[in-house]
Amino acid sequence: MNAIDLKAYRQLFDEMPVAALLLDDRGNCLEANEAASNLLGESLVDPTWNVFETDHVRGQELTHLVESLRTTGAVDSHDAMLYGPNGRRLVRISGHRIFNESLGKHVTWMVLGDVTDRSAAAYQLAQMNRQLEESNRQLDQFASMAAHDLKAPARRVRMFAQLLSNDASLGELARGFVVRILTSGAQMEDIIDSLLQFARVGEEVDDMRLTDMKDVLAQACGSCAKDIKEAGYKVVIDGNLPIVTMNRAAIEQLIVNLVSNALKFRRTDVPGQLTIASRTDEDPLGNHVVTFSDNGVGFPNQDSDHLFEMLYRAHSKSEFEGNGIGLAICQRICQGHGWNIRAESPEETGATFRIIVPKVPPVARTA
Amino acid sequence: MSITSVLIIDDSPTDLMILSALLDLCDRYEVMQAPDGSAALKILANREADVCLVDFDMPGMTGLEFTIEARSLRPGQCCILVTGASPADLAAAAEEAGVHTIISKASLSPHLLDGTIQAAIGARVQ
Repeated sequence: MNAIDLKAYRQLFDEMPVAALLLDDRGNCLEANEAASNLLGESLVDPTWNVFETDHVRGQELTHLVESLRTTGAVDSHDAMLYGPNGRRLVRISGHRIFNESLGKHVTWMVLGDVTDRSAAAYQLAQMNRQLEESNRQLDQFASMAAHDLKAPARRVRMFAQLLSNDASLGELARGFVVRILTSGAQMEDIIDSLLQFARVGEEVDDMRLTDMKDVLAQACGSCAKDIKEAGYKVVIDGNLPIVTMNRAAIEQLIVNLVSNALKFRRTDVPGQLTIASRTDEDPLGNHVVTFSDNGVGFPNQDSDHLFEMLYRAHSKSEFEGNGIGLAICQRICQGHGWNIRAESPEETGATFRIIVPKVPPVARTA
Repeated sequence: MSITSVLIIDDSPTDLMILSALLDLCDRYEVMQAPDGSAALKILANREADVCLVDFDMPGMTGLEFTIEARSLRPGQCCILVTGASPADLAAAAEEAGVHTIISKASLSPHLLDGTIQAAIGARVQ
């Protein structure tokens, strides 16, 4: 190594933003850069400084580490708490004990990176995630309990209205009101059932098994068969659906909701058709892309980001019935599986729901 | 038309009222009411009921426990379970307890109740 190289390396060593030390086996410091002195708050390259005699509290962990390096030879990313002029700092240490030929003895080099801030941010993030999970859990519990407790009173309102409708003495106006109570009661029960379903989707994602989506699709279409037939709808399967890890009941619900959605938003002027396709060549990572494309009324493009929001409706209630929870359930099911669902309606004629199913099964979310 | 005696057991006074009113509309039932399983068993100890219409979710004694007790007191007692939960979830346990049929509270109507009770009585006669 020539003189220029040596100077450049010296400068690199002195000015590098992480602390670096070179120690001999007796614990004396042969080299230390500025960052190391700043971190420990001591003049390290001093014959009086020795890592084994350093302040017990300030360098305890460092002393243990150097002792351990004598037997293990190397340490990688060991986190230790050191005390310096900036107080308690969490330091990530890597080191190696090597034989230095020019010195004719073993030396240990150590690099110490201050990760206090990063660690604090990670801790804060983890804490916020825990709070968010707890908050979501409580919200689910609330939705489930609220829906469950509302179910019986809503049913009773409808039942009493039904009993009232049998009263022959009711006038025309009163009979009209009773019909409205019956209709509203049925709507309320439908919303409550959907809310309960939404809350329960989160409970189901644990029971994940490798399943052929083709079988689940057949079962889902079977349960929608009557509606499909009545609507004169055609369902076309294009391509091989994947065999992936899933909660079968949840994915059946997802497919039922998407098929029901296509049936609901069909056009009256053309025969309805839903094409369910599966590809692996569309995604750059080779993931399965399962699409549900219909030739229905579609939705305005600006709605595509909001379509999966709870109670969001792209069309008015007078145009199409529905409670705006079905697609929110779809998204929740996909999220629980680590899948991604998006909606497109390129020319606002027909809608396509695109589900990205990772090729590698994701780790099931913990409840 | 012969009169059929029906004992309704439900801890909800509102549901007792609804079930009674629905049966009244059928015009062929003599209705008795009990707010829980124990009270219903006391009634059954003194007199017969062609059919027990029992709620599943009750404090103290569930509809299934009542069915077992009632059938022990009066072998062959016909019990129909009424539930606000999903009937499919209770099917296996209900069969084991000796329940004749499960009906959902969400789909109650005079027609459904009448049809279910008459089918249950018909099955017992056979």
